[in-house]
Amino acid sequence: MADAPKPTNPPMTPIPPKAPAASASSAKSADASVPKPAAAPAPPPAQPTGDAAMLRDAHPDDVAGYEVLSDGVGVLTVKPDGLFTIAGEAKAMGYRILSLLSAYDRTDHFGVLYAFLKPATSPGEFAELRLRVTTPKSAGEPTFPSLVDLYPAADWQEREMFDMYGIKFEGHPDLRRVFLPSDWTGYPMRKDYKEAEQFVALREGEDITVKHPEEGAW
Amino acid sequence: MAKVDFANPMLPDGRKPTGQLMTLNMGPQHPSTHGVLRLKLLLDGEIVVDVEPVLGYLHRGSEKLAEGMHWVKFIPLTDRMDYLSAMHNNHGYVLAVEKLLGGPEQQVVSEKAEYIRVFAAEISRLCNHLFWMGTFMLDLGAISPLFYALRERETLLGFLEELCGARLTFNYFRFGGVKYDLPQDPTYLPRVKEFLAAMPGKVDQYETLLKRNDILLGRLRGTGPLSREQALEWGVTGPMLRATGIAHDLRKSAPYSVYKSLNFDVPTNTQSDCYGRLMNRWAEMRESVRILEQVITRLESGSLDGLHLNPDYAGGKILRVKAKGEAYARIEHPKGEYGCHVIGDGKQNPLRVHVRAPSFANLQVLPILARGQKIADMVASLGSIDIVLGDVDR
Repeated sequence: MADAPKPTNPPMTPIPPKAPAASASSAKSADASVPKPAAAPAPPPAQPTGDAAMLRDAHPDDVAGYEVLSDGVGVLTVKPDGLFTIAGEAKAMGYRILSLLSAYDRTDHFGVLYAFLKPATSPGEFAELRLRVTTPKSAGEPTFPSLVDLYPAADWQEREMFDMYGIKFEGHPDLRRVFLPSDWTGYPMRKDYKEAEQFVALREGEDITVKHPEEGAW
Repeated sequence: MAKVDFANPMLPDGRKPTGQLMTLNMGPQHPSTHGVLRLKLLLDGEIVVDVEPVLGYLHRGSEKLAEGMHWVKFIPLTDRMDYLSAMHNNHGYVLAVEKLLGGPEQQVVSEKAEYIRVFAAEISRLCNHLFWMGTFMLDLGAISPLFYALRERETLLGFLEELCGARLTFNYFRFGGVKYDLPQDPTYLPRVKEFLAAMPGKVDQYETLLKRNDILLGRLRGTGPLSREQALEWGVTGPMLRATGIAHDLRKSAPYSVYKSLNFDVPTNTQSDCYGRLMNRWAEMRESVRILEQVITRLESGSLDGLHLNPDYAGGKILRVKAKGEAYARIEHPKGEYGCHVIGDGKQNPLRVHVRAPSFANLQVLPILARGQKIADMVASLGSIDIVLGDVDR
């Protein structure tokens, strides 16, 4: 990670004690004295290194981009169609542990960030690979290929993301809600989720109990 | 793990169960499920044909709540995820946000604060393993080990209480350091040191009590086997993975905080059953004591630079933190890899916080551990995973 290129998004400095709102002003106001990050000459786009570069070179059509996150680790953005192939090759390279599977909703698109690890006993052996898939909201219900066949560990984590974001993982053997009741409507972690007006008690099977607010406390 | 196939049940060795099958519901209110975990069991007599964990009885939607609060206000919520090692939860979240604030290179935490963090985290690890040992033995029907474990844990919790005022949900870590400096009391560190000097002897005592007990060995040896391949495939981390012989420890392989400058070993075990996991956790407790002794020596030397809390984040300034960017930070939690994926768009509240909970990932292997075993051994296997339902459901 030491030779990782500069992050594409400007690294945040700690808030200076005398100007606590500095970070907000750079985002909002067009103060000429503060050079806006966008106005500065754009740094050369980050280039993948190591295994990420190998994967990019092997599948140039499936890779949509590369960026370095705030923690200095690069992320290879892949097209959903190529995710399974690339993850399979990553597994063959020794990235055996599925460390992270996290979806998010960024108002115009859904995405899933994956992190894979090599089992390591020393910093020299340690290697991390991050992949990302995105889909615009205009493309309809978000759908990505499931990695369960490669990484069984993805099973519950994909179910959790389905539960919270409604992301369909195609090829998942048993894609159902993991935390919420099976008849829950909507996907609560979506930014446009509206809480139901009436409270429906937690239930299982056919025994449905509906409490209306006017019935009072229960 | 797929749904229990009630129509076409199969034992792990491919045999069809011969007896009359019974479906049994275990939990969510059951003492040996360590909280509110519900298990759907398919039994052939006393043999577990299949088991399906049902989650969500302690789901509080912490990740959704995080999106509506200041960055700092999520720290107390992380305490309530894995409430038995809350310091580590604090650490994972705080590390992730600090990466947004400081970037990959910039150090926002002083060396002194890092040592205090490791001090708190390793005491918390000892507490976690002690409580795990006590309740695990309770699952097996042995009552008295819990008293021994809690005897030590009470003292350690007392040390943490002197440090931050709380005994369980600490809310101690802050962006840029920790909330309070070490106690003014000059006898504090010597008292901790004195206790730690006796700690390996206490672990010896547990081993003497338990390792020579034939009933216990009969319950543990060969119970809940997990191969190395299965552990890697299912994303198992922490002592569960190390008990399969892989010395994968993030404190060693991807050192965060000041673990790089500390001298300790990563215990492994090749007996990947309940017995191996018990031995591994005992060995880890000894290593934690080693780490703590080095940390206390550094803290006592007075040579550490900096304040316990970066002044840029002290007082009311902490509420004005506006983080931007995306990061994932992982730490070696006593239960496995704990990580936080945070996304900020420069506002006072996070855009997304996802917690990678070790209990949630590790619990997935329960059907592998339990299939074909007796139902009482399934309880032992479940206990050996070391889960906390607050961490599973979040």
